[in-house]
Amino acid sequence: MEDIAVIALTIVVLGGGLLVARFVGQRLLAWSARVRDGVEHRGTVYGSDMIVRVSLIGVWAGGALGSLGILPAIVWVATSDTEARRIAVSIMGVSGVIVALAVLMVIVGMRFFVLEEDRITRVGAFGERSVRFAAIDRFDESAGLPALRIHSDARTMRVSKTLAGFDDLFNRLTEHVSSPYEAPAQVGLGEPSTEYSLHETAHFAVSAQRRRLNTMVLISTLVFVLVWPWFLVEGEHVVRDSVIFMAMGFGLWLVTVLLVRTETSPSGQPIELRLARSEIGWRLSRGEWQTRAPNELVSASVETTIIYVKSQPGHRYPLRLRFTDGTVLQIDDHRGRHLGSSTQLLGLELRRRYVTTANRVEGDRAHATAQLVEARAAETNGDVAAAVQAYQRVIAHWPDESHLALHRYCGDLLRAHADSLMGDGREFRKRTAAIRADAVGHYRAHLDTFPYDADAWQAIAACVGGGYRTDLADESIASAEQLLMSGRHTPTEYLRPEHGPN
Amino acid sequence: MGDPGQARERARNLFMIGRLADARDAAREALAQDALDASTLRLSADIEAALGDLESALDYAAQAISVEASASSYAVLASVQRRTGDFAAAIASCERGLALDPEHVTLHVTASLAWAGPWLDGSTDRPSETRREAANQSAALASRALELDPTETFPYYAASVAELVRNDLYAAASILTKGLALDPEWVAGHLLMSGIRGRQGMVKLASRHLATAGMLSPNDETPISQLRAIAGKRRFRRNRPGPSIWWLAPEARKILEADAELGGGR
Repeated sequence: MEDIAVIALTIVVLGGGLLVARFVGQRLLAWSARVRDGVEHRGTVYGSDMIVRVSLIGVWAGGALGSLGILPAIVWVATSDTEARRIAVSIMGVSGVIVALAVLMVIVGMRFFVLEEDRITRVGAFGERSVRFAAIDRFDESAGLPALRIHSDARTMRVSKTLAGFDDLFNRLTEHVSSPYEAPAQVGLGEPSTEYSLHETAHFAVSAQRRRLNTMVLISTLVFVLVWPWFLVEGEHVVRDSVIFMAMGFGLWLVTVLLVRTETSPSGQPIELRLARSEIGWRLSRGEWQTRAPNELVSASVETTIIYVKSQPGHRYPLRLRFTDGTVLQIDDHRGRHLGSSTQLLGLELRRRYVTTANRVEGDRAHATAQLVEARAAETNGDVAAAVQAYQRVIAHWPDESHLALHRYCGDLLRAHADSLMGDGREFRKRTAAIRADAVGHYRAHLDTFPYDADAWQAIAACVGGGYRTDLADESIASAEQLLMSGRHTPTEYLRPEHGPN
Repeated sequence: MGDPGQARERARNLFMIGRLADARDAAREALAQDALDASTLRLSADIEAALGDLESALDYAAQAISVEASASSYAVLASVQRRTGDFAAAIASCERGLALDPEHVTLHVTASLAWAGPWLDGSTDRPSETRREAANQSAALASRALELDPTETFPYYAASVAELVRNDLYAAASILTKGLALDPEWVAGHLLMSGIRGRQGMVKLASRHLATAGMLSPNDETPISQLRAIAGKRRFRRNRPGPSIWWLAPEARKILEADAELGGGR
C-alpha cells in the first residue's frame, strides 16, 4: 500500500514539475514570438528557434528533476532527516541552475536579423545593432563557426548560417552591396592572381587544406604508427612485438585516415578552381584539368539541404555548378572552406563573373534565340527533357537578367512533369525525386536573380515538401510568406518568347 | 393582384443583399402570382439552397426545368445537386445544359466543382488515377470557363479548386491570386485562399485572408470560427512553437481579441 502511495506521489509531483516547466516554456516562447512580432513591420525578419528549442529541453529537464526533489523534501519535513534535506536541496539546486541557464540561454542567445530598407539590424534581448548597406566593405566566412561576417567601416557583424532562410538573407544582402567579395587566399600551383580581372591563366582558389592534411597524415603516421612501439614495448621479443603493434596500429590508423579523408575531402569535388576570361576550369583530386566555356554555365547556385543528426536538423549549403552538357560540379561547405571561402561567396563570385550578359557577344544572343525556338518546339511535342535542355542552353548563352525567367519556367516544367508521371516502387520514387531536385536547382537559380518572387519559394516547398525534408519546405514557405505579407512579393511573368533574349 | 415581375425583382435584390427570409417571402409572392415563371422558380431554388433547405431547392429547380429546359435551369439544378453531395447527378445535369448552350460559363464552373467535389473532404479512398482524372476534368472545365469569361471571379475559384484536387497548392494559390486581383473584396476567394495558405503552412497569411473576409462580411460567422480554429490547431503550428496567436496576422489577432472580449466561441 505504501509503495502505491509513493508511486502515486511521485507521479503527482513529477506532473507538477512538468506543468511548471510547460508554463515557463510557454512564457519563453511567447516572449520570443512577441519580440519577432514587434520588428516584423520594419522589414524581412530572419531568426532561428534552435536556441529556444534547446533551452526548452533544459527547462523541461530542470522541471522534471526539480519536481523529484520534492519527495526527499517531504521526507525531510516529515522526519527531520538531514540526509533527506541534503538530497532535496541538492536536487532542487541543480534543477534550478539548469532552468536558470536555459532561460538565460534564450535571453542572451535569441537573436533576429531584420533586413530593412537601408540596413541590416540584429535584434536581441539587450538592444539592437545595425549596419548600413552603404557602410559594408566586404563579406567573409567566419573562421570557427558556420557564420557569415559582414565587415563595415565601424564594426563586424556575424550572421549565423543556422538562421532559417539564410540563403534568402544572403541574396538580398548582396543585392545592396556592389563589390562584397574578398578573394580567397591563393595557395599552390601556377602563379595565382588575386585580381578580379579575368586573366587567361588566373587561378582563383586552390585547396590549401589538402596539402596541410597530407603533411599532417604523413607526420602522424610516422609518429603514432611507426615510432611509438619501439619506445614502449618491453620484454623478450621487442622486435616481434613492436612489429605486431605497428601492424595493429597501422590498420587502425588506416581506417581512421580513410574516414577522415572521406569526410573532409569528398571525391568528385574540385581541389582547384581557375576562373579565366574564356573558361571555367577545375581539377579534381588526382584528376586532369576540366574546362567549360562561360556560355556553358547554366547556374551557380547554393542549393541548401537539411540533414538530420539525432533528429536535429542542420543546414548544408552545397554550391552546384550546372552546365549545359549535364555536368553538375558540387562544392560542399568543407570544400568551400578549403578553398579559402564559403559556398555562398564562391557562388556569388561565379554568378557575377559568368552569369551575366556583360561578357556575352552577339553570337550568343543569336544562338539563344535559335535555342528558344527549339525549346518551344520540343515543349509543344511534349518532350519535356529536350525542352528543358534547350532552355538551359538559352540561359547559358544569354543569362536571364531581365524578364524571361526561364529558370522558373524550367522548374515549373520539371515539377509538372514529375507530378504527371505514374508509377510506384523505389525506382519510380527515385526518378521523380531526381526530377524534382532538378526543378529545385532551377528555382534556386531563379531566386538568385529574382529574390522577391514568392512563387518560386512556394514551388520549392512544393518540390521538397513531405518526408525528411519537411524543415526545408517550412523554411521556403516562411520566406514566401514574409514576402507575401510584406507586399514585397514581385511576381515574375515568365516566357515571352516573342521578345526573345534581349 | 401585384406585378409578378416586380415581386421577383424585389426577391432578387433581397437575395443579393443577404436578406434571405425576406427574399423567400417575396419569391413566394411572385410564384403565387405566376407559378410557371421559370426565372422565379430558379431564383426560389437559389434562395432555398442559400437557406439550407436543399429539398425545396431541388423541387423548385426540377419545376424550373419542366417549365423551361434551358441551360440556366440546368445550371441551378446542378448547383443544388452538387450541394446535396450528388456529384454524379450534378455532372449529368451540367452535360445536359451544356448540350443546349456549350458556352454557358456557370455550367462549366458547376461541372468543374462537381468533378472536384468528392475529393474535397478528404474522405474518399479511391485510387489516385481516379483522382487525377477528376482533377484533369475539373481543370479543363474551369479553364474553359476562364476562356469564356475571364472577368468573373468564380471561374478562378473552380480552377483553384481543381488544382487543390491535384494537390498542387502552389498552383491553386497562384490562380486564386489572379481572381482576388480582379476583385479584392471577393469573400469566397479570401476564404478559399485562407484554406490554401493554411495547408501550405502560411498561418499568418491564412489568418490575414480570414480577417479580410470577416471585415468584408461581418454577419458571416465562418471567418471568425475558422480563425478560432486556426488559433487552436496544433497542426498549423508545426515548426512554430509557442502560443499560436502570435503567429497570426495583427488584424486577425485584433479580431480574435475582440471576439474573446465578447465571449465568442463559447
